[in-house]
Amino acid sequence: MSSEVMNQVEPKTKRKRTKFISKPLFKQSYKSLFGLWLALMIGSSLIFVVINLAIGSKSIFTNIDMDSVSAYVKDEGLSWLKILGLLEKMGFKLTRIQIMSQIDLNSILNELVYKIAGVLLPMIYVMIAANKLIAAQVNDGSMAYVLSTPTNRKTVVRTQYAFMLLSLVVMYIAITICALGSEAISFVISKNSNPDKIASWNPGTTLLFCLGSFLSMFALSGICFGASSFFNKSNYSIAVGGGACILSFLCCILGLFGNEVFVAVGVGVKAMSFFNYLSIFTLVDNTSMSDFSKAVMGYDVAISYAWIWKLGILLVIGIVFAYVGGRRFVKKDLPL
Amino acid sequence: MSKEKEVVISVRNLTKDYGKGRGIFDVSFDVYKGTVFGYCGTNGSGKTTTLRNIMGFIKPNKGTITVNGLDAWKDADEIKKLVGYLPGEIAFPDVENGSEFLKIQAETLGLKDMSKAERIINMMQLDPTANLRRMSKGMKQKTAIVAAFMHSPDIIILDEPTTGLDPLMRDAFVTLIKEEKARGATILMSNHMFDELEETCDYVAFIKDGHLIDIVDMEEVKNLPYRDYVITFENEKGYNSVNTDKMEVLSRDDFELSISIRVDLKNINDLVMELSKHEIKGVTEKKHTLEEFFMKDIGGDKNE
Repeated sequence: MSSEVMNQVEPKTKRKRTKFISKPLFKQSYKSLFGLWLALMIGSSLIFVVINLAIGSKSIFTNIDMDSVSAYVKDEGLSWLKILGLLEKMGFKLTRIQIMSQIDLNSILNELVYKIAGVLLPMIYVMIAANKLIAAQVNDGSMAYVLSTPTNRKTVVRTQYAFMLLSLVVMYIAITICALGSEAISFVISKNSNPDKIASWNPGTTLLFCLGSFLSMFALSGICFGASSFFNKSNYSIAVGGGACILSFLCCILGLFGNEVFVAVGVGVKAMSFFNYLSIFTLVDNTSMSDFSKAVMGYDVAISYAWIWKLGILLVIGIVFAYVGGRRFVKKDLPL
Repeated sequence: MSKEKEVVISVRNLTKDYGKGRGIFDVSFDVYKGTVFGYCGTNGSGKTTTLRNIMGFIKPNKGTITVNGLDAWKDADEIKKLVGYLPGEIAFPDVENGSEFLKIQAETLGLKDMSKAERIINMMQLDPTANLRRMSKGMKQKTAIVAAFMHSPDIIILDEPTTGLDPLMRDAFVTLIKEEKARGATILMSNHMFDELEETCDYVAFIKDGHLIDIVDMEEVKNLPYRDYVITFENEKGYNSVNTDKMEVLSRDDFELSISIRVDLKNINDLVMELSKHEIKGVTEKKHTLEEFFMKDIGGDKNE
């Protein structure tokens, strides 16, 4: 058979530039993830609304007014020494009282909201979506249908990553709007009900916090998407991508117990701050962002730029992992 | 068929080694334009691996594959403009139902006219509005067949296309293949149903343990220069005295009083003349089937 005269056919199709993204594939991803995305977006937005309406209106500085304490001591004819002695016997050392008098509970609350409560649902979205967009389809074989059409592997990666990124951006736009809106409402309420104790509201800080939270999700989505593109099996993709998310989340909580405030009030251990080194959320420097924003607004705070390079690292992590995974997807054997 | 044949799919020294003797080794074959090429082998012999290489899903360790002159790995997406594919293991994307899936596939392929899809749906008696997850194996197979054929591709690659189909639908499928061939499509399909291969293929390649054993031209199978018969005699006299000079005796059965013989086509008259001299109980022709070729090539003999 092979001895017969054979004519190799000249390529019939001229090479065309490959499409940057595939619209039908994008649509398909949208259809398969829209429900999950919507539910988690509403859920995480609600978390911000509830927290802001519940406590956002109150000034939660613990600043102790030492003048009124002094006046009270004087009026009652009490002895300072006796009072301090009593407190010391009860375990409250003078240094601790000094720290407690200056605690800014807002900073703890910001950590809780923007690194733990507020990111949980977007993180779940990132873990599920990243796996579903590539690895799950390779694992179950349905990727064969995408690749049996004139869709380049690069186009597949770009499309799925674009979907992931865009859905995350829109989710965070919604979250930011809800966070700002509910803060504005609680600000107005507190202004009307308690004009003496107006908590300062700085939308710029909230915007920066939301940006930080988004970039932490950007980095994790890069890791998850990279893992999803890298591995042919869903198991591995979830283990690596989801593992990175859960580890970061858990270490962020554990690291909080090493926070000086927690240590000061006796519910933390300094050594626990070690866990901050294992969490991606540590790169979201809320304190620095808050200081930066306050300084820009003219408050008497030293301006801080540390948050910028830290967010830069998150950006790089997200891009590098997604890129490495994507490269691998383009070059590897697919068991389809 | 003309002497000069256009090669559409060319596989040269294709090797994909998965270790421990698994994979495919030094496989070469050509699929000519407008022909149906069957790819036949036992389970795990390397059929799907070969097709995955052609589809550009996996990269060969050695060797080259060209489809319409384009490299199967590098130009995988260009090639897909001409190819319809039916995977061996069907897993549909995460969409609601069959119609939705076919719509999305059509959109990706740039196909607007769904009349052919509808025709195949009718032919296969498929209800595409059923939920993909709840579809039976046969229904999934039918949906996949529609997806592979609906855009009238020049090249159709099918991995065990009839698994899960009932006998009626197999007939419909064979009709579909014949129609596509008449349209001028080039078809490469892996299959281990000999009757389907016999009915549809121009060439059939046998693969065993990753090695290509033989490529059979179906014309040769159908037009052998000899015929095999089993002749059963009424009595021992005939059985013992029949003159077998112009034929080859394949075997004798003293108990049944039957002789298996092979006669050249030109000597068939002599056979009839000789048989007329004896009391004959019956004459049966032994059909030569692809299965026989396969068993001979692969080395199995259980059907002999």
